[in-house]
Amino acid sequence: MTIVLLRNARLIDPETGTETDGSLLIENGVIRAVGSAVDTPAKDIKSIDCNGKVLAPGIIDIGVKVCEPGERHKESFKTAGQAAAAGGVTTIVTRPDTLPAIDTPETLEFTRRRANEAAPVNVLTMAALTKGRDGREMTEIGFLLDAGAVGFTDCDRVVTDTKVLTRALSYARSLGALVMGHPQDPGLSKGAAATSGKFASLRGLPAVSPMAERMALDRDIALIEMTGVRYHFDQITTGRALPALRRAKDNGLDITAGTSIHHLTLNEFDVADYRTFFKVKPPLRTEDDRQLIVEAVRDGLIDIICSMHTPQDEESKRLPFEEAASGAVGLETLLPAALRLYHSGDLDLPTLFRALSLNPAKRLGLAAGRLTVGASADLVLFDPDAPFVVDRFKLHSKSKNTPFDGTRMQGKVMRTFVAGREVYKG
Amino acid sequence: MPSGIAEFGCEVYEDMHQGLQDVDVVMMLRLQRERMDGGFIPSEREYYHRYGLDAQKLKAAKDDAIVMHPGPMNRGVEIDGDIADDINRSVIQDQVEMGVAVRMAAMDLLARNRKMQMSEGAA
Repeated sequence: MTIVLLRNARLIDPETGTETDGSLLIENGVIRAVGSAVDTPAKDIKSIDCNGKVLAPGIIDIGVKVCEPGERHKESFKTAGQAAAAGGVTTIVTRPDTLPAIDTPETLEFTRRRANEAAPVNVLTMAALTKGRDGREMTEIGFLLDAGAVGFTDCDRVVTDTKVLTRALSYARSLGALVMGHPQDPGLSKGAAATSGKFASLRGLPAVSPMAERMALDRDIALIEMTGVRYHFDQITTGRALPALRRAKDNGLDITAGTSIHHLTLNEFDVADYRTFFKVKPPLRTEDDRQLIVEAVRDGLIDIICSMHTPQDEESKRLPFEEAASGAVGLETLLPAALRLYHSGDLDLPTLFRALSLNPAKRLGLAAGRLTVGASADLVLFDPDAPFVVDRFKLHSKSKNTPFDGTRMQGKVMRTFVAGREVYKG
Repeated sequence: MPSGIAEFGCEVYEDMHQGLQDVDVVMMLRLQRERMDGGFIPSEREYYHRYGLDAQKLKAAKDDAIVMHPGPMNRGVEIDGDIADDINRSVIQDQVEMGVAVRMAAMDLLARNRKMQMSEGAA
């Protein structure tokens, strides 16, 4: 029966696209009242002065890799949960690309049990679309849904057999399941470490054309049209893909699209002299692409921003660029990196939180991601202007592979609340 | 679900419970694996859970609804053994028996027809 009043806050409501100064009242883990004039009950309440800082719905991050089971030395539910809390992420939606893959109700139940024991934030789990992510046989989508899977994806292993994929999508559609795809033509992108162009040629890196994204997007859109499945593209990163995405959405297909924070805030030049911490999948793009993707987020064509949190240990990263593992951790730097787009004037805060919180909640059918009465009190209080320098050894993640090490950033999380409970205080 | 099945003039349901609501007759068919190239379903256990006829799902039908199946049955896949053997609900034994008689009649007719045509041809 705890009642908490967060007063004197700058409230960000992505649903109405507005910012207002006011207070927010939490009762029993739910937002009870919000606005410029909030009636406070006479009973004793815990009152927190926000000092005019920003209070926004907590981030819902779709596509986080927690390396349990299989590679706990890289990341566990405990460390990922702590990183999330410190980053203002109140819900993580995990990927099934673990060892073994989450492809049976039994393994899914294991991860859900571990997550609930260890993580201070909400953890939702996705399951593989095909057994072992091998693209040959669909998983038990029905049982996995019953066990709590919120989505189905083979992650970066694209299903090449379109008959297998069509059957899986039809089956998923009949159960109302959400499928997440990785739009990369597997043949064209095989072995690629950079985006083709002048930079890749100068560096002598094996490269993939941005067209590989368009091709896979086109193929998947055709299959979505054929089956009517609910579909989410994990990362759209090139301008070439946008017209096709626009057409598919205009045609009324049940499609949403995401992009990663790294593709929104970095470009291929950041790789510089083969810095492997900037090696991500798909590879970083040109500055033109980055700007087009930012614009697409502003327009709402790209619905969701995620961290694509992918922990890798030093041994797999400290290698020649071609051999180094892909991926970067992102849970703790997601918000300050996203605020770069706010400080640069590209996106205002309600638009940013539409992509970070509201749209993911809508896509997953969660009663969160908004500052409305009755929504879960999953909140982040932060100072958007506070400067700091990223020190990778201070990250809560077990793996420290951030591309932002030593980077000056603005935006510090002060408090994070999950269902009204404070899980982080900076 | 076979494509274009709704154009046959039937109502299509993907939820067993909805589809069985207040029906008089439930006819189950086996999965014809010999006619499937690859997986339409992830596993038999999931198929049974969602689409196998058991007492729970049959509750949605009328109280006196009969259960049919042309055989051979795969118990625990499309039908629960108890339902298949329930003498108050299942007419499967009768159906199979009559199926034999109908096939005999059909073969008999075909055989006679052929003889007649042959004699006509000879004439």
